Amino acid sequence: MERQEYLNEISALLQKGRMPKVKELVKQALEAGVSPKEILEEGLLSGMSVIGEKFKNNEVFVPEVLIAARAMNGGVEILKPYLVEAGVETKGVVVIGTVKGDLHDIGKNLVKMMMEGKGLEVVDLGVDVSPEAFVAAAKEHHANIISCSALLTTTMGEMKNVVDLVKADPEISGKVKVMVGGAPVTEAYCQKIGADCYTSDAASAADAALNFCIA
Amino acid sequence: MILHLIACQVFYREVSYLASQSKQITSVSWMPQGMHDTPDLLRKNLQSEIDRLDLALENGTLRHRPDYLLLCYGLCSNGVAGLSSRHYPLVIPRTDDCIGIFLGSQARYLREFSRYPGTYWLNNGWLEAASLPGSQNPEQQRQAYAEQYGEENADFLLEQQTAWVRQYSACGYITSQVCDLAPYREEAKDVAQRNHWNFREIPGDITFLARLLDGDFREEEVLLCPPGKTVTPSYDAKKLTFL
Repeated sequence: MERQEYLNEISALLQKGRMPKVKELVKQALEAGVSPKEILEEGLLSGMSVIGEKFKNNEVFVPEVLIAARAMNGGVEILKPYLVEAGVETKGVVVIGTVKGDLHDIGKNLVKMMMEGKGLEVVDLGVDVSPEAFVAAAKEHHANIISCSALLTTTMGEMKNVVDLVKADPEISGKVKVMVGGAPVTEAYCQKIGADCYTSDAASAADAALNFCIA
Repeated sequence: MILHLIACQVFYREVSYLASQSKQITSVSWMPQGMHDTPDLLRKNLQSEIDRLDLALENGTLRHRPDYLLLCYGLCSNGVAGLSSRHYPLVIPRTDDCIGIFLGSQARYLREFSRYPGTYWLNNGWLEAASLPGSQNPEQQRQAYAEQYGEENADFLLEQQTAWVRQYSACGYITSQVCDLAPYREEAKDVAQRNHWNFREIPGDITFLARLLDGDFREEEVLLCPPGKTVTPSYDAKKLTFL
């Protein structure tokens, strides 16, 4: 197989969510001398971008994105040691979690995988994360971004507490951006609480996070 | 006063009872339960019902012109955001969802929510109309995933889809003052058991809904959205405002 064929095939299998096959093909491509950076960017990430776009346009739905993201992570796992060796650095650090009281994490997991797909390091704090825990983790991991998710209108108010706590902390205020998302969250709400960014879907969240990190 | 209700099916027992007792002329449009999961669809369906009533007034085909359209909904995942009527004032409870209405107030709901996080609420209306967590056979669900997304993805998708169930810790069964049926309590207990949740029984409080059906609209309890204005989330304790 030629270099381009490997990359196309990896991208195509990723889009179908075929994790074991993606992993196998990434190994083969490495053995065939395709560079880890090319496999990452032109195989895995480009495949994930296609799925991200299709998701935005309602052409595919959550299960398809979940399995594609899982396949991508499988491929990234194989590549990691090679990327570290090649000196490909992480593009930024995101601390992610669902807000205090909110126990629904499917959206958060999706965003996490999408962000990892963009080459960001994601620290997953899980569900029911207090504002204090978000801030402490952001400091500990020298994060660029705190990313908060909420499914319920009863819990989304906690996002304001996260924003306020970040703003009140001279160590991270103005340095760590707060991103908000989840079914009931809107641009108007983001502006009202003074968060830095709202996106309506996981793929756009990953794009926005990357932009913050490379800006 | 003439009231037209646009009510989620989940209120079937309570609203039917209260409508039978109401001194007002009432009529009801019943809407299917469960649309809070797809708030855009909920909004679209509610707006078409409002449009239908607006049009009926314009065409002179209404027997009674309603003084108010009372929506038996809360914010419901922003499903009521963006609603507007050309002719009728819209009345909408200032609650996150129906649970605040069944418990008698948003304040009581929030107290319960913070005291017992991870509670999945059920009552007669939910048991009659909703699809219940854990009711799908996991093997069948797994099989469906395997067929559509491949054997290698079936367990992963099942795990993703059901993870929230393990995060919840209790089933809160709201008893009803108008329809307290033993089989429903047993079914709620079964739901709790099936999902490894504790079971708690909480007395419902019909007084808020009763005030609404009496036309007793209090600013702190309901939004009154005038004709031509648009229902909008207020993102504060009042939940709703209009623009």
